[in-house]
Amino acid sequence: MSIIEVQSLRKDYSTAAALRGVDLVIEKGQWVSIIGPSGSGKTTLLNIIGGLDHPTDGKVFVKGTDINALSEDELSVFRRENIGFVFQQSHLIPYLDATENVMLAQYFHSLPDRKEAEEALKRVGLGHRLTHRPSQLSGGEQQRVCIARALINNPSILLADEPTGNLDRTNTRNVLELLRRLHQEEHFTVVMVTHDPYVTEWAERVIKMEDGRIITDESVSG
Amino acid sequence: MSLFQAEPFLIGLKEGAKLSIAFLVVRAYLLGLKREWLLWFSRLLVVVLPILSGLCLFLPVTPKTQSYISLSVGYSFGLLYLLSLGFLYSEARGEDLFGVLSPLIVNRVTLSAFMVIAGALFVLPDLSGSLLYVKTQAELKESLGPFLNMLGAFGVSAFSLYFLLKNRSERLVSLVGLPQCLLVLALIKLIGGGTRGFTELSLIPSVQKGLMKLIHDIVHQTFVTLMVPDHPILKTTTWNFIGILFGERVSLWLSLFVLFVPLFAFVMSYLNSPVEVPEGIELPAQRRKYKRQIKNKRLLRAVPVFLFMALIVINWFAQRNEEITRLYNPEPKPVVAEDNKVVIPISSPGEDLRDGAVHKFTVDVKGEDIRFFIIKRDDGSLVACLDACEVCPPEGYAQGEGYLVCLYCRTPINIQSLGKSGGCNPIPLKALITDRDVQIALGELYRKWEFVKTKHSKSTIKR
Repeated sequence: MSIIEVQSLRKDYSTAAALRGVDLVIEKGQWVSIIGPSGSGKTTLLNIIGGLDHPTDGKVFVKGTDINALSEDELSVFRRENIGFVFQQSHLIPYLDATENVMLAQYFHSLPDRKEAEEALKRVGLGHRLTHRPSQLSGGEQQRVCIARALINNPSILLADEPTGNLDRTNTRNVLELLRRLHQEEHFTVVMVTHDPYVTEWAERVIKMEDGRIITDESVSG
Repeated sequence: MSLFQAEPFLIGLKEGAKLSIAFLVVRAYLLGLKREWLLWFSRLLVVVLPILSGLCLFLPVTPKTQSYISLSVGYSFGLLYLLSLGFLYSEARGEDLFGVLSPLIVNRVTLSAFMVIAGALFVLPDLSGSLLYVKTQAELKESLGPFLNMLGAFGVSAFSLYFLLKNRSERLVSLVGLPQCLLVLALIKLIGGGTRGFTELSLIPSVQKGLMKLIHDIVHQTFVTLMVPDHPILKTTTWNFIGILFGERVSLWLSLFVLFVPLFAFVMSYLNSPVEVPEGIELPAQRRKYKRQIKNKRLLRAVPVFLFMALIVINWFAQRNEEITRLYNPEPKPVVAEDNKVVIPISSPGEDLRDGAVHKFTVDVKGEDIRFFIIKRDDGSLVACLDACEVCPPEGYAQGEGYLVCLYCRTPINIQSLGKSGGCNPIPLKALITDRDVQIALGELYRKWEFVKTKHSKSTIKR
């Protein structure tokens, strides 16, 4: 059962085309990695799937909804109900502690619940860092806070753009192990953009992009 | 436009506006309820109830009718207010007011009956009062002009407001449940449906006066019958303190308290009470979302309550000094006794006892300056009373609109009830009232004034 369906997607900027007719179907619960060199259009594709950007042409259906047909307000509601984001930069609020950063996502979704936020942080291994501010956390810990924040509202899709781009190998593995465990427990769909071949080893399916097009699309066994 | 034309016109505008605003709020509630037949039924009521209130025109315009209409306006407001409080509190507790009986009670027949009762409470007393008031105007003028003025203004304001705000009422759907709907009806009555004679712009002074009277009666009876010792010094001192209890300031705050606090308590408990999430909603985010929806709904439903509270406070403080400045308290006119009686001509140059104003006099009897007054009651008869009552220090009375006020304890006394004895009523005087004058025996004046001076309030005065 598909959860994301992209049809003939194009995105043109004034000087260049970022996407040149992308067709893609992602099944519910899949872990998909999109890999490619810089400028291949992978982040543009992820942003359009997440409703953060609009295509020049083509359609994107997420959970059966044509997200480009939604108004900005509807899109905003759709995003907060269905999609979690993790970026390369943590984008944590520096003057809020780890728990409060997670609670902020709860607040914009519905209601803040400290206990639930603390539980989420414990699940990502940060039970001892609940009241620490971002500046008091390592890069790997910050990214784990981001994962807790992205998943606190039980999204069915997690979109991750180079989530381990700033981390060393050990921390990269820790974050990916954590994501794999949560993915297995909660069965959400992961679409992860990366340029690191090591990260793609964790995916069930690897899509390679180049020059705004998908050039390979392979399922990875085991 | 003369007063004769302007007053019925304004009354018509007011009644039309009240009806259309009330209907729009009820419409919003019924739209939310999604029961089309109730909407049609409410439209029918909006037509039928004003016509029914027209039947009051067959009633004679007497002080008794006036008194019944005034009471029904006050009581209908009270009933709507209490009903809304009941429903508000059951909503705050998340319970159905009728509990297990609800399926039996909430059906088509009982809902229709409830609408008829609520509609009748809202429409009939106020509109009947207004119509009877205009009837008195029409009788004075011997013309149907005032009626035409009122009906024209009623139609214009009712229809124009309805069509102007019709689309807005759809936006009110999320704000209005049954309790809010009843509360708005009560609010409209409170702000726009009073009883000066038959009608006035606001019910708030009546509520305040009613409460003042209630407090006074309770305190007065308790202290007089049980606690106040007979010694004049003790009595005066005690009454100086007790008088504070039913003074204007206390009644002002108490009446504000009575209307404001139950609503405030509701809002606090409604907004702060925990939300029970139904079973079947498992995901924490979905549970939070459900709670948020319920809390949002509660917040919206609290808006009309906040509105009610704000308007009460604004009106209260807007009117709090009005009564004092409006009171008429003329200087007593000295009169001389002849043949052991005072004779006051009913009509003399510069003074007519039948003009509706209080006429105060003072007469020297055995070295005592005795104050009394004469006033025309609503039925046209004259009445003479001492400018003092059996209870309070004799500071006398001043005249408000349709009532006298004891200047000591601020108790309002309906002018029509003058002549009754006891309590804070001015002590009535036996008087011979002829076509030309009012005659009062000096002995009558002296005996009753002496009683006031010595304050034998526990004994019964001989009349």
